[in-house]
Amino acid sequence: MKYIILVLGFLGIGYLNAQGDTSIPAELTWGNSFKEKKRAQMLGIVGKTEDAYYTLNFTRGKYTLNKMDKGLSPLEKYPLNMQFEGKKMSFEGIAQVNDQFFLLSSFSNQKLKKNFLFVQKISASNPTNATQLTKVAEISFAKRRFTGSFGYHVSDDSSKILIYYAQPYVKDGPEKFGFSVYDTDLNLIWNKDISLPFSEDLFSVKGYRVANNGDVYISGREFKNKLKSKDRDGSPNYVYHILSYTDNGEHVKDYEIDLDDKFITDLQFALDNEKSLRCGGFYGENSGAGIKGTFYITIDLETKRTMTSNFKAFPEDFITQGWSQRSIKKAKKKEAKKGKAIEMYQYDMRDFILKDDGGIIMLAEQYYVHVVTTTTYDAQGRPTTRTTYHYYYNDIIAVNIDANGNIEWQTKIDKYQHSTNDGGYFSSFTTAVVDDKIYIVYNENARLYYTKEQLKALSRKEKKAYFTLLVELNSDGEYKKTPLFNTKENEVATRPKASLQTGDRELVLYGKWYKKQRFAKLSF
Amino acid sequence: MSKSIIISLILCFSVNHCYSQDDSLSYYFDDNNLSTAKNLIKFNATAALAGDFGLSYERVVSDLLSFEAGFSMWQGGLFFYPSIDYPGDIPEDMLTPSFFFQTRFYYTFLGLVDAPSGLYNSFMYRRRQVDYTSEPSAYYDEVVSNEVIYHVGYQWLNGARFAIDTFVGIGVGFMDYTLKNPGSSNFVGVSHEFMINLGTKFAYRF
Repeated sequence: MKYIILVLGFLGIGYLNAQGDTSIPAELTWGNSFKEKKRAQMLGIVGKTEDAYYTLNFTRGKYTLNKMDKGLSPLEKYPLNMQFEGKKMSFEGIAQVNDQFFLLSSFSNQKLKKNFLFVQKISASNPTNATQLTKVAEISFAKRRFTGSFGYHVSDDSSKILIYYAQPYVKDGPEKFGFSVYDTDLNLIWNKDISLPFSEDLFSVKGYRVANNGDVYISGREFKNKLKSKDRDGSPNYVYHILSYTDNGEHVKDYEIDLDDKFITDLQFALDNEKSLRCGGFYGENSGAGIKGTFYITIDLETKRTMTSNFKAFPEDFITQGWSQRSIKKAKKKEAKKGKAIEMYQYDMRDFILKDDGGIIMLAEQYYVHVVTTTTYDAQGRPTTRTTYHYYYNDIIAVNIDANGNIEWQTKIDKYQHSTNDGGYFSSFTTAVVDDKIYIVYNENARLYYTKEQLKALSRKEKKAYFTLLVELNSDGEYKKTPLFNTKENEVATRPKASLQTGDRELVLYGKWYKKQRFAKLSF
Repeated sequence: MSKSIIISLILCFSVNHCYSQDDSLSYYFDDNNLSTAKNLIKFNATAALAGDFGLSYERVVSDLLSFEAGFSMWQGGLFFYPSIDYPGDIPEDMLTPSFFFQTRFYYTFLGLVDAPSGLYNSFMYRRRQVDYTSEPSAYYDEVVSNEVIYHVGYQWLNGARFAIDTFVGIGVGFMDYTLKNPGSSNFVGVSHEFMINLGTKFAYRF
């Protein structure tokens, strides 16, 4: 049975009173709650058709494509074939390209010392209809431990598929990788094996993508000398490269991204109509992982000329927003005594969103893991050691870059998520881009959502509540937080990492509560 | 007539085509059944150093589970054997048999590593019997040790047919012993002891 809840009514009077305007520019539609085996894992929403959604699931070593109707109620499960003649293959990925799923699997042949990558096309309208395996890449290896790895990327217009393969690690050897570009009928358009003039120990590939015309772009970081240290006499010991392989691999260009004395901590790139490269990211002034500001560069693909180069240091009050007075004092003291700039720490770029108006929004999240090992002794003096992994997913920062490359604004969304020994299962956030707004969904404790004054009016039970929140971030960098639902009352906690924007104006949320699972759809 | 020939030819062609597809795929998966080998014959090298020469056989029954059974002959008096502490001396050249049965549970990580490769824990039952009947100077007639041992281990498979199995375990042994000259009564003694069992086995898989 499916039912629709109008969020405003569903939230109840309490939230209205507590937070003022809680109207949500979205309609929440729930699917049926259903039970799954304890070990069943929903790995992600992988596709949709006119009448169904598909999720990738994993249970006891078996992968399945699970079909849901448009009302988000489960229908069938389609086992993914990961065997050939009794030989087990490794799952490498699945992607929907138009009306088909491309299932990637690999088999490491110990006799031939080769790792093969296969693609199987599965009809999205009828997943029982699958083609035979097609071999699309192979990697030779010498040692069983290092058999290389595969990756893939689908072009923005879904017309090309890039198969990327990293050659096995060889100590002191050059960085080697290769790629093949296929059309959607799995016809090979071109392929190339690359051996870079950098040692594998000093170069790491960070990203790869294929353009609509079949050109391939690889980004990576090169350390300048043998010591893989970020700092060399106070300036960065590394540069970022974006390598382009155009005209079926005939022409190669190296675009070096070097910010002189600034330490690039994160870099993402996109293509602008195959004419220019748009690179954005964060930089620090210290050699650690801290970020001091943001940058945006556009490079002419033909001439390699830098067309735009903008940097913006975050204001100090922005960096220290949400910090305790003690932390601010400590950071200032460090700056005065040791010359260490005040920076934000442990931020990972999560999204690099290209807007319709030509601008870009970058979203980053503070994420770190803290490991605590404690040893206790019993009455006989026997020690017991326990290691606890603390996962922190904190504030989100958003940076807006306009179509001319100007860094218009930055904003910080306060968030605090802490869990132990679970990999941050219910932490982090998911996004939806709708028109000129960004919607962000995550879980938050009521104590953090309400102000101190509002908390005084709440009961103990209300203070302990957890909400799944919706944040609306507008084009001016202002945001509004609104609770979508109370997790305990609805017996569902959202897993943002497994949720996905599935259409221009819809976001499918996946939730779990012990053995129970449930999907919901936000329609904007 | 000519129509049927054409249809036959088309059929032949498609069948051949299918076979060639299958054949070419088979090439990629032809690894002399290395990836599907479910049997291992093992030699316990550590025990051999202690004078206990044995072979065992492991059979994989699922991605998570395998069973192992083995037999060994221990030549008494050669070296100290840490897992069994028999009362009294065992004369040199005396061969004492033992056998064991083990259930192994392998850890699979997202289906990437399956039995018989990787980390496992296991429960083992082992029985050893020492017969002193032909030793007039011995204090006992017979000693029987029944042991239950819990192991944690790791099994490495190389790209070829060989494997190394290392393990460490703790357990308890219950020993029944019969005195040679019990006097007036037919005295049967029972004792138990805790033990540590560790070792390395070399294996061939097929």
